[in-house]
Order: sequence, then structure tokens, then C-alpha cells
Amino acid sequence: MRRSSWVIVIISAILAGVYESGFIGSAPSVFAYIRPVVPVGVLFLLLNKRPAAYTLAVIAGLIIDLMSATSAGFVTGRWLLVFLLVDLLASRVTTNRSLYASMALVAAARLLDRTLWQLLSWFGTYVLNGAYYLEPWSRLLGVFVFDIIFTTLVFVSITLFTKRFVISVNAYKGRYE
Amino acid sequence: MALAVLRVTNVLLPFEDLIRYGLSPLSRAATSLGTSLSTVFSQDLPAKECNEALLDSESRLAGVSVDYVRLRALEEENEVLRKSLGYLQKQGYDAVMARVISRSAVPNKAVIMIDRGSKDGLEVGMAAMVSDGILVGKITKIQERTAVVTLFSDPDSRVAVSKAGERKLIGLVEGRGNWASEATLIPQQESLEKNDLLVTSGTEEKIPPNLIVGLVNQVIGQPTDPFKKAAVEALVPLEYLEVVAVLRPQALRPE
Repeated sequence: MRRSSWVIVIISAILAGVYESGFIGSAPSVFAYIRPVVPVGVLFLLLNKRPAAYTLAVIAGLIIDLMSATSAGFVTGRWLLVFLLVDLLASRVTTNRSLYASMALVAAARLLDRTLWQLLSWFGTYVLNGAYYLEPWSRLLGVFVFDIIFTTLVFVSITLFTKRFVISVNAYKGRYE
Repeated sequence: MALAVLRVTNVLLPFEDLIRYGLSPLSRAATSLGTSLSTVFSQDLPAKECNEALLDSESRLAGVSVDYVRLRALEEENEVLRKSLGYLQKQGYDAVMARVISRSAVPNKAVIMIDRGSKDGLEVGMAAMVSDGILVGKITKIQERTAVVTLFSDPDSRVAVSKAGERKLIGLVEGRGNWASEATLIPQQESLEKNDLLVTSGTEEKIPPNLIVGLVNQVIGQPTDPFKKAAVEALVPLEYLEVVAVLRPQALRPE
């Protein structure tokens, strides 16, 4: 990645972290469904930009962990693990780079993240005797809807403006290459 | 994994505090922007029209007796300032102004983070109020440069209260989430009516008496119950707080 791309990734990660830790809690409730870090991270993985995905997870996660008023549930570690697992899924299971595959991966990432948060919450409450608060599953449904719309828009934009996901068919051989 | 261990063992605490301090202006701006948006979205049209009509009536009323109102206001302001100055000096407290840098995104939780911490002499249990003596919550977690305030509408919050003018503990104000709170454990023989003002009882170590908590909205309970409850209405919109004052005993003021 070029230096300018790194600068953009780092600034975006800081802004995304501040948005999720500071803005969402005080803004109208509709903003609580708009969580861009996970879908953007998964799209980075699909574009083979692993360092960007992990940088996003670490910087945004760290900011959320440190700046959230209630315990956010070790977001940095959770997102690193989620991106690692999604990366594995992307390279072993959903190997094609279609819109449906990207939607499935984003949904899987969100579900994994929520499951890990639930496990951490149980561990924290019953083993560490701490106070860990979870967002309700009902909110997750709204977040899913945002994720799907966001992924579709970004995927279609990438396909329209770049050649990243375009499949070339060799006319001579008559098959995908 | 290593990061998790370092965090749990508090090895990274100084670095975490530094990052929090560095990011607090940005987070404060984001929180402030969110609050402004919330304020705009919360005003629907009929309520807006009602407010305008009310303001119009009030301005007419003010026009009729402008001199009287002005004189009364000045007199009252003078009295309040004298009282609060004397009150804080007498009680040995001073107010540390702090800005809200983030709010909990978890629904039902009423928790805020402020940009003052143990370096400013703050401690867990101290009262946070808005400038005119209205209690909003207590500090429940402290770092060097930041602190977490649990507002009294949070389900985990408990505040000992008495009726205004009486220095007797009558019960607890417990948060119920969604910015609602309830006075509980009020003995049946205590007289409590709608619009009674509840204040802090002064039985908690770091919270002085007579800070306003809220107004009784409705008394709940049967005469046969051992205790009664009351719905409590906050006097300030807790969801839109941007600045709070933490009451610090003067003895803890940093040199």
C-alpha cells in the first residue's frame, strides 16, 4: 500500500472509532444502526488488503475501548479475531468474489462479533465479577440491514469504477480466467 | 491475547490515559455534534408550535410587568448567588467544571465520560451536578484525566434522598433506564405528594445534602404495602448534558 493510502486508512480508523464511541451515544437512535468498521474491514479483506483491515480493527477498536463510557467488551481483540476468522472463511469457503459472498461474509463477521461479545460478557460478569453491558439482539437486526445496504453500495461502486471484481472471460478459450 | 493480558493487569494504564487525553477534544466534538442533532430531531412540529405560542404568551406577560419581573429576577438571582456561595463555602466544597466527552451507546444505560479525573482531585462517589445545584449523577469510575459518571436514571444508580426542607432520609432514588427514575423504600407513614421536591439527604459520604434530585410525578403503592414508591421527574434533560460540575471537597483541591 502507498503512504497516502496508509494515511487515509489511519485517519478513517480514528474517525470511525470516535464516531462509534462518542457520536452514537448522543446522536438520534437511528445512528446506532450505522456501524461502518466491520463491513469496511471485511471489504478490505475481500480486496486482499489485509494490513488495512487489521490496522482499522486495532485503531478503531482501541479508541472504542478507551473512549466508551460503558465497557465496550475489548473491541480491539474481538475485531482482530473476527477479521482473522473471516479471512479464513474468505480463503477456504466463500472463495468467489461475488456480491452475495461479500454479504455473507459481512453477516458472518457481525454474528461472530456479537457472539464473542456475548461470551466476553458472560466471562466478565461471572468470572471477573465486572459489569459488562450488551446491546440487544433487536438492534443487531438494524445493524444487519445497514451492513447489507452498505456492502451492496460499496461493492457495486467498486465494480463500476474499478476492475477489481470484474471476471474476465477469455473469448478464445470460452471460460473464466 | 498479550494485549488482553496487558489491559487486564493495568500495565497499559498510563498509555491509555494519554490516548484518552489526546482524543478527548475530538470525542467531545463528536458528542456535542450528536447532542445537537438529537436536540433538533427531538423537536417535532406540534411541540414546536406549542412552544412558540407559549413563548408569545410569556413575552406579552413580560411586557405588561417588565419592571416588576426584572426587579424580582435581580433580587432572586442575588439571593441565590449569595446562598450558593455561602453554601459551597460553608460545606467546604468547590465545583470542578467538566465537559462530557462520550455517552453510553447501550440503550437503558445512562453513563457519561467527563474530561476531568483524579489529577483534578476527583474521586469515586463524588456528586456531579449542573451549575444551579441539580444533581445529575455520581462518579463511579476514575482515571487520571477522565472519569465515568453514572447518571441517577441509570438502572445501577442509587441516591439517598429526603424531602426538600426536611433533613430526614425518606428513601432511595433508583434509575429505571430510558431516562426514568423512581423513589423507592419510602415508609408508608411518610407523607409524599405529587410535585414534592426530592433532594439529597447528605447521608452519603461525598454528596452534600440539599442538592435537587427531582420532582415527584406520581405516588405509587397501596396503603397495605410496607413501602411506597414514586415516579421521579428529572429537572434537567439528562440526555442532553454537555457540561457538568463535580462537587469536590476543598480539602482535596490539588495544589
